[in-house]
Amino acid sequence: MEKRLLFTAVTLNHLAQMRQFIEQSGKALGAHPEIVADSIVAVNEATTNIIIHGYGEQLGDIEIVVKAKNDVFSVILFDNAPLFDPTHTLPPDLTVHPMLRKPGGLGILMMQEFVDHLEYLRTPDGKNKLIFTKGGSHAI
Amino acid sequence: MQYEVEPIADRPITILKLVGELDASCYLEVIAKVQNLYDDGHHNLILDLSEMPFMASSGLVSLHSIALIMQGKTPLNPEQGWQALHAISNDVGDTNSTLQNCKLLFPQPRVAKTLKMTGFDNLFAQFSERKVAIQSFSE
Repeated sequence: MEKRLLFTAVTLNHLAQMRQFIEQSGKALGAHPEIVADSIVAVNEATTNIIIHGYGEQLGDIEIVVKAKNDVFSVILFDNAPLFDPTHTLPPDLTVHPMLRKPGGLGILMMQEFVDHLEYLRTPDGKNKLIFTKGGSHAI
Repeated sequence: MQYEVEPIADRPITILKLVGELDASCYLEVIAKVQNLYDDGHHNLILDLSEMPFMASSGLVSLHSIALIMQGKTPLNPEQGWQALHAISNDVGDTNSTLQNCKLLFPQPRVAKTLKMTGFDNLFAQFSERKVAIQSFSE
């Protein structure tokens, strides 16, 4: 079962609507609320990056697909921004005090830490496809 | 984001409650709110996070800036917006202890997890009871 919604001409003001869509979809699909809430933290970092760094000054679209099957919950993002694979980005050095390190990179870390599996694909038509999965055999 | 400002009677302490979700759409506004409070003489601050169920990494930028403000230093330039994420902050003061004049009250589970995961728990003392948080300023 899945829920799907296309957000057009996205701005930072759409972030709350996107989180709400994932939350409501997860509830409708019977996913565990804690798993959904963790996934929302991870997905929000990606949607924020797409809007700010991917589309930048341009207005673009983000399609969100939410799936739940058995105890596996997945959120898939599609966007037309320049190709970017966040799974190959190094996390910040957390041994350094937060006031001494570059604040950047924490979003990537949160993407990775709040779900069990993060996968990036380039679709045949040249879109970014980012898959967040939590639960099931992916559970850490 | 909504804000509730509560000065504590007979104590030079102010509680700022953040009500809502802290993400990239409002993180600069939170920094500005704290800057205004500091400029108005509120130099001992408790950030009440009990009604802030969600915080993105941009919220960590807010906290990073708040830490600078509460040390009387210049925060990340809001006009640089998101680029501030990639700045290196200099002149950050003592990094061996948590801030003495800014503390967090009742961070929600995912916010607490984010703080711990990113090392921000080394920067801000956290309390689960308001009374204890207030008392901590006199220690």
